[in-house]
Amino acid sequence: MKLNLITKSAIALMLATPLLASAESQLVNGAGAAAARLNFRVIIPRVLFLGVGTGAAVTPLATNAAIDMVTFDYSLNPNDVGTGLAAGAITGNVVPVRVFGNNGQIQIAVTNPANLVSGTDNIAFTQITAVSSDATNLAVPAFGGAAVSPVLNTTRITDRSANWTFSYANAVNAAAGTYNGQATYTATMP
Amino acid sequence: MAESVRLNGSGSATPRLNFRVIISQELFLGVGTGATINPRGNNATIDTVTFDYTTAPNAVGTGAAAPVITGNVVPVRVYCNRGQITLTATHPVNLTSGANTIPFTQILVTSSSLNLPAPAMGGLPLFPSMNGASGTTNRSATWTYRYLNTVNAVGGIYTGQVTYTASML
Repeated sequence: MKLNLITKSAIALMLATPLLASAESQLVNGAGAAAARLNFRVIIPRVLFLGVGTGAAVTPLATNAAIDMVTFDYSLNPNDVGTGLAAGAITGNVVPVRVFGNNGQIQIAVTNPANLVSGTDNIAFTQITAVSSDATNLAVPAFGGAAVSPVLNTTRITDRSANWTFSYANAVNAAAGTYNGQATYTATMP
Repeated sequence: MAESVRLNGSGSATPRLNFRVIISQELFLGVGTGATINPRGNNATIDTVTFDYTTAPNAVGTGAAAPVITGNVVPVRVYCNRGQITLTATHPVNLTSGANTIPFTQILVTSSSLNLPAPAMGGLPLFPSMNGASGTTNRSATWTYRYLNTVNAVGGIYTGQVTYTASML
């Protein structure tokens, strides 16, 4: 009778104690389920990407050092200079653009000198204009204009691509020469 | 019936002795460090599986593996001496980083053993195979986790916890 009581007490203790455990391993003697937990962590860094021209097509997103050139060449139609007509040869004026960011609203600004220059001669940069193939989601900042805000795809994520097509207004009678200038597009994000 | 027999005179003395072996019903589940405990017991350490894209930010959302992955090969052991076990995984819908989220289903798992399959995130309960007709299950495997990486996630450190539960039918 005494042994029986001890046995019963031991079994009762075994039944009760493990059920209090909460662990990644659990031993249960008697009824009940065993549970074990596992933690997960995914670390996502802040990412901001802007590609204009060749660099826009890089996959996965990466830095690319090539700077593309847009050329408006009136060598073939010199009589059209200053008339508003398009150049006889235009290269590189349809420019792929991609912007990606994962931390909120992006703004794209453009900075450029006042003029394209050829020695001491110049043409105002504002003679060059651009339109976007997706003006709603990825507009082009105009030279001398305000920054634009690409539309967020989801909360804090932006991933927009478009073609920006550049035109030369050809509204000035420029001295002969090869005029060069460089615009820098800058994306900023919180 | 006695533990001693006294005989006076001829004959055999035949005291009897009873034996009893008591095997309690036992169920054990270990995921991670606790799976290697011998003998089986409780362990309070909860392991962490980490997928870290800090050094490869360009890979986020491309499906590429994280450059730094730790703890993703997880030893698992289940033991039961009373019939078929079911194994389930419960977890929140998302891993979270403040208000930002990544679906838990971005985490996939495979098992090294068909006898101890890993229940998928958001999936159905699974049944480790019993070792024999005795109704005992004693299975070990390693479960390997990977991050699918098909969402463009906002920058942050996302955390979440899954609870595996073994139950006897």
